[in-house]
Amino acid sequence: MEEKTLIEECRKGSRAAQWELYKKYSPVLFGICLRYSDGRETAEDILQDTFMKIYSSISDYEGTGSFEGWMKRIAINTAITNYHQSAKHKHHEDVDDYAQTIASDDPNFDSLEFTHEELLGVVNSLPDGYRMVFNMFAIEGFKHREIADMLGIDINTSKTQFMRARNIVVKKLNELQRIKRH
Amino acid sequence: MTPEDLYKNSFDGYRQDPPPGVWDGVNRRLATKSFFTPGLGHFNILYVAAAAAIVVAAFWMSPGDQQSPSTNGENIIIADSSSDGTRQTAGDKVPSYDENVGKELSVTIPKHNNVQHQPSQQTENADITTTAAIKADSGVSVTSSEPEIQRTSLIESPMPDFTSAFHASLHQGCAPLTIQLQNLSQNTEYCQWYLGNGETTYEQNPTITYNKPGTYIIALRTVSGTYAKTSYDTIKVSARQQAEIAVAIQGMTIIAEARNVNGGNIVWDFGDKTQMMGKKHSHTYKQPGVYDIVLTISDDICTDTVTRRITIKEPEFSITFPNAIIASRSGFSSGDYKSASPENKALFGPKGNIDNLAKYNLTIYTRAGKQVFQTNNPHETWNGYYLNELLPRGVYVYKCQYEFVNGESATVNGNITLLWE
Repeated sequence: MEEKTLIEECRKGSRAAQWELYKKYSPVLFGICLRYSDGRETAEDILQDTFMKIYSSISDYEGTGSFEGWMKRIAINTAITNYHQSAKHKHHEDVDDYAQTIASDDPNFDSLEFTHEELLGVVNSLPDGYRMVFNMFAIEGFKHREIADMLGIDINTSKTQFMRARNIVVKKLNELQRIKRH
Repeated sequence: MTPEDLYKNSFDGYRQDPPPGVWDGVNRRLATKSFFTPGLGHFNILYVAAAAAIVVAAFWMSPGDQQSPSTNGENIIIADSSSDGTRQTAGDKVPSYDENVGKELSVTIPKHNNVQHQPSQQTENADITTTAAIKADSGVSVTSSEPEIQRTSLIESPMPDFTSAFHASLHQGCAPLTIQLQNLSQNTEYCQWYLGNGETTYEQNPTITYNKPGTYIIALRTVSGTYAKTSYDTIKVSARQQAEIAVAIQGMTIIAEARNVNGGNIVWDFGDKTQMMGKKHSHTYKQPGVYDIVLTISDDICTDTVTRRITIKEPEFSITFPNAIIASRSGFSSGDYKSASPENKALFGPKGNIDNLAKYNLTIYTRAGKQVFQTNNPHETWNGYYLNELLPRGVYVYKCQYEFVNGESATVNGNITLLWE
């Protein structure tokens, strides 16, 4: 089914079209959800909520810009909502343990050396707030001002959390590299 | 690369199939939402309310000794009256693609000896009124808590004793899927098959091939006199994957990607007892050799396997040094490094697998023992200069200690003849 027709059918509420849409885009969106969550279970919840939002607001999609991009943005927004709703992250606000380990030189990693699972594992293990900022800044390419707005935090908090997240990531990747090489 | 680049590159366009349970959850929530959204186009709470209202109204309006017909939402079994006789057909809605996968629809109509006769005050012109008990077995179609539906209709003769039943040799498989249908109906005048792909046939035991993936509902309609009975079965045909393996080999590490994959679980076996799931992977072999990479893609029904053989070569762990260089008489200054290359005769440095070096120390002396060059960087080369001065032509001595990442180490000494351009 062509994308335009698919969107039109989804607007009408056709379950077959909704299934088609799900089949086509769920792997990409699940990839995003996996990054923003602390594990598969949360990622599955976020994906479910994402699709419910897509189906209910598909009539708002104006047809300008990439449809996939629009859905990705919904997935990210859903992950943010999930982050806000989750009480867990409140306990992690002041995690400073890792902040002291400031990387002395610019790290240099080889993408061949890590599998997606390993890279995901490192991101999943970040404290909730750090993970949100790291994903949004490093992968999605949002600006700190935008991240601050979306997460409802101070712009400096966004910057600090990113640096701390980066330090943890570097530390863990180095550990991984060491383990893998020996 | 930096961790930002590493993540950005790795997760740009990253795809991962969610488990089937996620769609089940979405589907359930959509169904619930749809049920509580009033409207005319779909089954929802209004229909239930309307059905309840009809039942209540019928109860109040009917005299105590009369059994009134009951209706059951959108899934009622219809007794269709027409001027040339009465025919029984099952009025179930056609199941949509996702809702009824794996479910079987069947409608059974009791035999003649189960039919009860009773007089009715409403049907003065009819000789006999028959109430046929029709049971709907399908989990989809019954929404009432009372599965037995009483339905009154006008007929002129008792229902003959005949059945509609068939057996399908397969209920699911990969496209193209060929199945044999066996007609088990009894005492019928004729039978008509509806094969779910738009075709119909009057053959007794047809064989049918479904070329396209999808869910097909087969119906067998048997006719006896003015009666007809229909039985159903569902066939699920899945797409056969035509996946390919794309591999890039870099030393002992490969990047393998599954291409042309349409959903399903993707499992890799890299041939060295390593298994992974997902569309794209990098994998590092511990030993050189010939490996068969096996990619298995499976959904509920189809499993497809693709194999690709690759050869992993042993990485080289050796370096060599030239025995002479021709120094440039202009254009160099101390500290101007350039990587050694076999072509560049003006520079002295190691050639070979320098990227696999873990430790490295090169020192160059004059024959009198004066140190003129020292470095720990295998990419840094000597150009024949010392303190911005081109050294005299002649023989120099070098000493190099190095260790590779695999632990192999060596110390080499040698002579360099320095020539001028």
